[in-house]
Amino acid sequence: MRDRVTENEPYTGDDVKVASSSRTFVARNFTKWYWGLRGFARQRPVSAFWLAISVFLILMAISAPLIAPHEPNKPDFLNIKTEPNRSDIFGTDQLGRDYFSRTIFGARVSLLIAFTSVALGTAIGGVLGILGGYLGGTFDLISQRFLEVLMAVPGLLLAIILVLSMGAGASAVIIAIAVTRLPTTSRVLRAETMSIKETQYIDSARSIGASPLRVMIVHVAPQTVASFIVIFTASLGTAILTEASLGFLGLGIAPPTATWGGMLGEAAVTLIPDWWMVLFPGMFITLTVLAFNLFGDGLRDVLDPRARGRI
Amino acid sequence: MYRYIATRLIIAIPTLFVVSLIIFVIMRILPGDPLVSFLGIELDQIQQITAEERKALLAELGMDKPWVEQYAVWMGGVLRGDMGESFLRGDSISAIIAKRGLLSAEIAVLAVLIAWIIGLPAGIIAAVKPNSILDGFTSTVTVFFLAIPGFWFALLIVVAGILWFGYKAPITNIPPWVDPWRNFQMVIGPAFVVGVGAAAFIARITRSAMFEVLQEDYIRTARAKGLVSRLVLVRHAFPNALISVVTVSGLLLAFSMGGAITVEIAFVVPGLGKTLSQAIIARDFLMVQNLTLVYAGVFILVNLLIDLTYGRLDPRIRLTD
Amino acid sequence: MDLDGTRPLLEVRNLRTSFFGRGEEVRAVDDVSFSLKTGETLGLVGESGCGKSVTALSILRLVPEPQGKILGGEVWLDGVDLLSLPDEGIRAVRGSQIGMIFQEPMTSLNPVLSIGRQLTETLEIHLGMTKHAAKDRAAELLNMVGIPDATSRLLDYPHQLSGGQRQRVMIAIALSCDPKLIIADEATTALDVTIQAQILELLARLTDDLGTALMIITHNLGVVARYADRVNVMYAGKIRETGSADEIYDTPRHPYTVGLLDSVPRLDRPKGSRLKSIEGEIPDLANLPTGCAYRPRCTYAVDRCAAENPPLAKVGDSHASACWEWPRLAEEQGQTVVS
Repeated sequence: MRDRVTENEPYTGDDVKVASSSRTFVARNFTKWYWGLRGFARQRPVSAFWLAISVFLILMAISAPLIAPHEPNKPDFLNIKTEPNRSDIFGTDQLGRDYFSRTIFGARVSLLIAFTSVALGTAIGGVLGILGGYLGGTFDLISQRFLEVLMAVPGLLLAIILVLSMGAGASAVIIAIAVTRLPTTSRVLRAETMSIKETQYIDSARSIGASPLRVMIVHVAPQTVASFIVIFTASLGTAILTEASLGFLGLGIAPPTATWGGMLGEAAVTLIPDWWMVLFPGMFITLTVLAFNLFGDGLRDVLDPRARGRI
Repeated sequence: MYRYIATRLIIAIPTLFVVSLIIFVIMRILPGDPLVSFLGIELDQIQQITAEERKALLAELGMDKPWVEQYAVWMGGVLRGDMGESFLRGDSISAIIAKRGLLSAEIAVLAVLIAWIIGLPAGIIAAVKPNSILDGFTSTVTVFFLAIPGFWFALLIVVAGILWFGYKAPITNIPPWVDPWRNFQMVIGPAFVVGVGAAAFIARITRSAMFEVLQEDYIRTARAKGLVSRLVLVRHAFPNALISVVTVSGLLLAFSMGGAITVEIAFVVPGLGKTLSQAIIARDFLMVQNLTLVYAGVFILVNLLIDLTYGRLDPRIRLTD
Repeated sequence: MDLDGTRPLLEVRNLRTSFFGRGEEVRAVDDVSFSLKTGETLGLVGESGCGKSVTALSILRLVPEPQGKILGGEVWLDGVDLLSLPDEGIRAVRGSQIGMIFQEPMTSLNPVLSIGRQLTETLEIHLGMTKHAAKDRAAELLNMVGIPDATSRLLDYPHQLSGGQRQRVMIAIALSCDPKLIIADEATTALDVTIQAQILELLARLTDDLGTALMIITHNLGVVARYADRVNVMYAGKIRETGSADEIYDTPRHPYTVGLLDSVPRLDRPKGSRLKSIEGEIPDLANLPTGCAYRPRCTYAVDRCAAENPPLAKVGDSHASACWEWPRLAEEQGQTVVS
């Protein structure tokens, strides 16, 4: 990505391309994406495999109402805690709810929260980082100090007190996890911005009188996209784990909605936990985190190999 | 070196204060009624509380005073060693933390040992024989353990213990000097799980650090001197890689601290994690506030130690002024 | 090559080293043979990428694996073929019989070990010295290379020394076990010009005093002119011309050598004469043209050059050149050829 920078482009004013509609955008870029994907699969087959798994999980979550055999939240007091068998392949929980259906629906919650919180967190963190890196001065000083202090509280704890104070619920969890993503994202993008700032490309844009805002949006931000994508995918795994931990602690989405962490939390409460109640949600958490992490690794190798040791 | 230490110390103290402030503020910015969050009173019942009852309840919580005063009262107490009383049973929070903290501290120390003893050699071996079967194996295991939620691993162990061995660990808090064996049984489970997770992290970082170091010019010089591979690795490569690894330890620590909380709960060990969980369920906000402060304080302290270690290890820092 | 009777200290025969990557083979050292007498100073000259550093690394078997591999040949050091030694054998040679100095003094010393430690290592391992004796000897060595206050310097770390000082330490390390040969691979290229001169003087003087043979690898003809007894000119993995320093500088008989000499400002040329640069670029070592690899850039090339690669042929007393057209070249250069 860095290679594009070295030319001095004449400033013609139409450097901001506006897609007339998202459809046109996709259509125009479809070929590019298709070949990009094929190239990726060829270069990094393992990573592409995990991408496929991730997509599978996402599809599973989206189509949950269609594929779940039973209602996830419907209790059946005649069949409490039954072991996995032919009709309930994951067994039932302490309220007789079908565990398989709950697990599939749990994917919805976990993935939705993960993507939303990471998107929110990295977006804001990224903006903070770019602003701080580009503008420097007091703004940078203050925001950096603030984030440093934020980092002085271990991630999960920060999330815990945030959720506690906001009252448990989806939005609280999303905001809490987003906050934990702020420091890392902002730090990486800030460093990136600072080195981009030194390039001639930026100088020439500024010398023609482009305002700082324009420079940041039009010239700096696009060059940080690679790092941003890498951080995004790398954060997904952590977000899922954090959400699961919060659910386990009883701070997640309120029952009876099925969440993987919550299911494990309920299982843990009994003196002798039932093995199927423990095995399946955890398996899915692990699989999902693994899939995102390994896909993210491959993506990072391709987009920004220098970041290998960083994240 | 002294300047390095001094700077770090000087920064740590205000950081702790600012953190306490942030914790305090977070716990008070409620988009809702404090009585709901803190006392768990149902929303429909809120309407029925009279103004006097409300005032009384708030006074009980210590929340009728202005924020600044509340903060001063709290921090004043903390500095004197008195963190107030738990809502749950009125016990002294400091006493509870001290007693349960011992168990968590034991777990932490043990976990650290396990993590470094397993993680470092694994990372070194993987780096020395890249793309070998051993390396592939270590990579797979590492990646796997980084994806497993600690508390799930813990639960699996508990379930396996019960199903296959009919074993359940003791759950009453017993200090090591009273009954070392029972104490050990309680501590080893969480320590193992947290330790192994951290080991995976360390192995990964060590591998890439060693890898990078082995490409450096001074390693070529060492080989040109006719040194045996083992000597090159141990005396020349490893100390440099270690510096990189230590630098990243802070991140590992944050990860592990959070993990330790949920793992303790999964193992039903009466440590700080369990205390936190109970406080959360009971909405004992003062306990949560103080516990978070303690965790943050420990975190800042350990990070300080990490920084000092790093300063000691790297002669480029050790020997300037 | 005729060598007037005495057995050479180092004899490289048909050395071949290649690098493999992305399905290509880069022939970095392509059938190289030369020799070096005891106490002699040999200059190995050529542009970057011509294979001179890889030659040096191959001698000590330090070629990075698995991408690089010594494919064949022999390297005789005092009657022993280094390429056929077992691992412990070559380790015994490294640092004790052959000392090597690298190009980057800033990164060639380990930042976390003291200077003293990096010096005493070889003494302890190769000479079996005790810690105490090694320390004394290390201080002596530092003195020898011109670092003042040697004993307290032993406790210093590399970051506390300047580039020139670090290179002196490297020389001390190379000399520590009294080697028969020192290989200096672009040892002064990364230093300031004034320091370069100092370091070279030091190296030349010490090897003279101690009777150590010296192989100077460089792209700088000036360095070689001053200090070398013999010179090998390399291009694209092969030696193109070899001879005594006088022979090479006074009567160069390979177009490449002529080109190199012409591109260097010289005091013995008329004032105002222009520097001639060699046209063209360094060839891609993975895709060499047939015949002589220098042909695309050569002003003396004829048809034969494209078909057959010229072997090194005797063109003087101790002078050989790998060029089909050397007589014509010699004539055009105004040299008298004694057949």
